[in-house]
Amino acid sequence: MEEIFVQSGKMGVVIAVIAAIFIGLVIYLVRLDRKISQWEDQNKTNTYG
Amino acid sequence: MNSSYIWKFLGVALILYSLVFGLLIPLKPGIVAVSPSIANGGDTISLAYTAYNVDYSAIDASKINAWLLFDEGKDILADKIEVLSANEANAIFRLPLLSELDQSVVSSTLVVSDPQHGYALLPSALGIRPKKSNGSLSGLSIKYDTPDVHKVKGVSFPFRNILQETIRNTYYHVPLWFSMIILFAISAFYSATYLRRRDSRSDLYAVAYAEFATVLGILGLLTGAIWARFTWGAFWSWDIKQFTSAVALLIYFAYFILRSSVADQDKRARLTSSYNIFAFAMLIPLLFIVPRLTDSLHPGNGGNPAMGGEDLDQTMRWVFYPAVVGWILLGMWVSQLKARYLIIQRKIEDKFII
Repeated sequence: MEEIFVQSGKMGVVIAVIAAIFIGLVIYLVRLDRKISQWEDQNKTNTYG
Repeated sequence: MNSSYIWKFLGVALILYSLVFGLLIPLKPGIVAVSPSIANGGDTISLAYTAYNVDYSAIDASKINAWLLFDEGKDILADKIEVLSANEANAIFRLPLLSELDQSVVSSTLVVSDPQHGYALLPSALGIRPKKSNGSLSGLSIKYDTPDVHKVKGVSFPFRNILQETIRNTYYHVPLWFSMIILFAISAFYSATYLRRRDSRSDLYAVAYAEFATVLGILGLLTGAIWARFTWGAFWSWDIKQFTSAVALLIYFAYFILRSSVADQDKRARLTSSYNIFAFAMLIPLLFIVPRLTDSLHPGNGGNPAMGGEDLDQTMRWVFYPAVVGWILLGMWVSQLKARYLIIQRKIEDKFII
């Protein structure tokens, strides 16, 4: 496991950092999406009423 | 195209630019290992070194220069270079006695240079134990001419011995913090606006900005920990800046807890707006003042210079600053989306539910 990160001049660490940022952003967007969906479901009748 | 998209796409384009160029531009050559690491004055040694980002199979060994550099500014040139593989070679040195030096070990920097790849160096590569003699051969007074230091051709990033390729994380880890600080500042500004105007719109903007800034801060801690694991040796080493930035985020966690604990809308907005301004006022000393007062592993703290020298050279600035601007613009975009959602939610709530 250690080798994956350290080989070829520790390039794996850079990939891991970029992946962590991307995953973090996606988690934030999924949470926001779920909040909006929940809220849409609750207000199905009201919103257009 | 709607003009309101221009800055949003600019933000994305700048981040994309930092990904492409930040990953594709090669590092300068470097030396990753030498053997042996210690020798006696007066010996003739064969110093085996492993270089990075060089291809010795394509060049003539006689074109390679290697020399040992001492603090005193004198050099010892290698007599001969024997290429072992594409990135390994032996440098044969006749070491001076160094008898005039009253030290147990004298440290030297290994420099290798060739016209095709340019120069590479490894500080503290070889320690030499001075040999006491009757002084007939006085070591460092033998001064060799410094050979040509070949320039590294093309666009490249600095090679730093511990960082190696992870120097690229400067474009991905650091802009998260820059963006976080700007978003917290905008959030504090909206809170101040709320306190002046008492409009719930400003209050909701303040929450949305603080929320995404916190996300960036958490990502900053996480990416910093990954980077630290393979450079400083541990995910978390209670470095002063790791500590103060974690404290700053805890202060903002308390902001969200405070918000969820007050039921009345106006009371919540007034209370948390004041808190948000104080939280930002705390962020400045925690991130910019306290880390400079003591020793830190972070560059730019505890007397280490940052934003200069080999840690952020001219080539790196061309990728780093666009990345900072890109992350600020992306952060503003996401924060505004969240704020717009909160505002619509509030409007509909006010109309139908209550």
